[in-house]
Amino acid sequence: MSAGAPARPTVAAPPAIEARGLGWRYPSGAVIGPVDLEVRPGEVVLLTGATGSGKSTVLRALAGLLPRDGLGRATGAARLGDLDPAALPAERVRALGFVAQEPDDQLCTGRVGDEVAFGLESLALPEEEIPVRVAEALAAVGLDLPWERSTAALSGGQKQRVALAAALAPGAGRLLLDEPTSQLDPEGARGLLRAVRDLADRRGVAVLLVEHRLEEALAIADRVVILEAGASVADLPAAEVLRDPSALRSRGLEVPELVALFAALGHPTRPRDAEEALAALGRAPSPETGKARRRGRAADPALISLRGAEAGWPDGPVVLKDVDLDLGAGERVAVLGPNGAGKSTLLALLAGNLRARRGTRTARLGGGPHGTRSAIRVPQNPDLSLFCGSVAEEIAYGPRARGLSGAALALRREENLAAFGLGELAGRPPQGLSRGQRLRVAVAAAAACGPDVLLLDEPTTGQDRQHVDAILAALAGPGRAGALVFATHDVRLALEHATRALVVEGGRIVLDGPPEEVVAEAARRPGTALRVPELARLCALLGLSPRPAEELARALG
Amino acid sequence: MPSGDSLRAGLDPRLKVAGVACASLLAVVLDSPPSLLALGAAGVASLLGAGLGRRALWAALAGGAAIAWSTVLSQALFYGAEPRTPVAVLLPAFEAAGIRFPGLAVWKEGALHGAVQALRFVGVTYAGIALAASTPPERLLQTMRRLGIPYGLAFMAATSLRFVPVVAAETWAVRVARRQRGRPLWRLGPWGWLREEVAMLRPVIGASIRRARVLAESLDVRGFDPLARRTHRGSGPMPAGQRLALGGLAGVTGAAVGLKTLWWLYLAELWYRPELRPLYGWIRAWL
Repeated sequence: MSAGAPARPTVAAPPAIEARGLGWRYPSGAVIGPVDLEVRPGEVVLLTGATGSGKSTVLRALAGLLPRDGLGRATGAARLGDLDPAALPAERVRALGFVAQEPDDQLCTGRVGDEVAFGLESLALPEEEIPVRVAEALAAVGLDLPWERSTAALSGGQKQRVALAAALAPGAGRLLLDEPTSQLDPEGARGLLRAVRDLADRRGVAVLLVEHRLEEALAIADRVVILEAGASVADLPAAEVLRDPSALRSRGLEVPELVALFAALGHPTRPRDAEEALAALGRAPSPETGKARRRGRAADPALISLRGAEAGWPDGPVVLKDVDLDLGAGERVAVLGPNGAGKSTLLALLAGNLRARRGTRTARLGGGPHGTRSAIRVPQNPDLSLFCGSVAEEIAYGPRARGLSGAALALRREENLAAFGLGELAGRPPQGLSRGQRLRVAVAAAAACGPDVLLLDEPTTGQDRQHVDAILAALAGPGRAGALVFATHDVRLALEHATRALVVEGGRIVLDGPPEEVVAEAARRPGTALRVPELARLCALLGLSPRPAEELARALG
Repeated sequence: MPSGDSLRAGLDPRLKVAGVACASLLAVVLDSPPSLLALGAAGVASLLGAGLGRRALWAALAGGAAIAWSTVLSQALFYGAEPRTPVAVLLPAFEAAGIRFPGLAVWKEGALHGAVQALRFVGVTYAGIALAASTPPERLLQTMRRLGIPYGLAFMAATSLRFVPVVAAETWAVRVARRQRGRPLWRLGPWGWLREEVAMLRPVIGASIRRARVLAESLDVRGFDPLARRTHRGSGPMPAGQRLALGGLAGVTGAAVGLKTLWWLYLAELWYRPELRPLYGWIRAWL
């Protein structure tokens, strides 16, 4: 938030959402709480904390969802104004809206209008009133979509806005949002969060937002509540957190890069974007010096080559068009681009999971015994590649299929369990682990096969940054000679872990080169769909290669 | 997902539901192979017109063919009713330790009986698949509500159908993941193959449970109560041509059921009119 950002109205109304010593004791003995927080009408409160700190549990307790599990016991009090969250559904639907992080799974129907109307129908409103309220709710979240539009045809950001509209349509004055942007690209996330802020400002909705993406979330929040080991340990105005980010840093939470830069410079301004930052620094934009190539890259010897390749999913339209690409041994390639750009299709084509409908895919891979492939793609949902009864079996499955046995198999299994920090989980069933742990197991199981090319499809989706950093660091360890390709929205991940970056837009590779050059070029290009972090954009405006905030602060001296 | 330009996507769901109901009734009352062949052909035609993707269509056709073939084969081998005519004797009858074993033969009447059963199955199953594949779940939900099916049941059925393509895509993803890391299934032997196939269910079921939980929470906070009163928006009137088709369908099915009832009354010696003998003959030949 800029120092000059418009002040939000001071609200003196009683809390719309309130937790007093709220807690939850699971049958396993794990305890969440005590949590104290309140959200007043028109306020956006950001609830944040490290993974496992209990954010989602608190949100579900406030939504009255936990007692319905029949497992565990609540302590303390949760109130939604005058209403007990565990009240009957029909009363609750008027009181609060709840949006989960999975855009697809939470939609109850197949059409936009039906989805938004669902809660209204639950309230048995007159039939003629429903279309009017549906239109109002869609307008409130900035969507102009026909009733008949299939929800399957929407982007992730649009789906989340439809879920917001569905929550608002019955007149709910409270919103509980559980990482609603975790599966969205940065542009979709910003659009959704802008809509949330707008709802608080214009309609007086009280919003409690659980979010990992602090850079975007802090820009719209009024206050920040921090959870640590299940308990609320800080309740601070967002402006104060931006002024002094130590409250975040001391708890291992991500500090927005521009905030970290200006804090490191000792500068009082907290700019919202690169242009404001440039102005605050009193600098002029540097002239363009685009270096990244826009097409192709020769790698010698290439493990996989695509020439004029077109591809799409079975029974679907063509997604990738006219792709030329050489993938060389030892390369670590980040595939960047917005949702729907064709990143997953490119990875599936490289892995040989899809055939090129036009053009060619040539692979010069070692190949394992029994005809096994040596290009392995870990899908966007890593759970779909976990089919063994224990983590140890999962890791050993591929090497065993490749002919390893006895001591050699045990060694390979133990090496990978250790490299990915899974030793303590070796006997646990993979499907019963946490989301971050499941991703680690899926990647470790693929890496244990020793593939020539390992492809990770959006490993950042719904994951903590630390988890993904740890996985990519493990993949850079000794004995990992193959090529690594990972699709991501996270430009910083590309800058820190890749030797090469591709930007995919509209099914075509539009930029290809060293990550610093690609990101700098993307930051300068008008109209690019790739959302470049503000710090990287600032670096580009300053004519510098992208770098962490501390390094930039030193460079600016 | 239903294809917008498929033949059946343009039909009113009420007509499609009626079509499936009529196919089910006809499958029960018809015994004549030519008529059942026509019913099976109608089922295949509806499947072809449902707008399924190429892979899904091939999977449905191959599945139907496999079930039809196994039904014909099992009936041909194990048909026990008389009279029966052996087409080929695979193992002659023999006696061992004082016990007489009947041997193994391919029976003509058994194969015919199996074909009849297979046509019944194919006709109704393909009609059902075509209905589910060509009708948006919410329109199906509306139709089921108009037919008086309780909301909770109708909602569950429509929601299950909505997630069929998702589960199919996940199953495909699991198989791809296994193929990348594992041995080809044909190298595993029958038990290994079976074990792998069962293991493949684990991630699909896990993902379905997680999705069900998210959906259940979403429904819960949006006031879903299967027993409570709720608003049901009506569907528009059925086009005249489709109303006519519905009438024709109901007429043909009603006539078939009525005629077969006459035939059963005659067989049971409960009611018989000599002047209807030509009709009895026609029923025997065609129904």
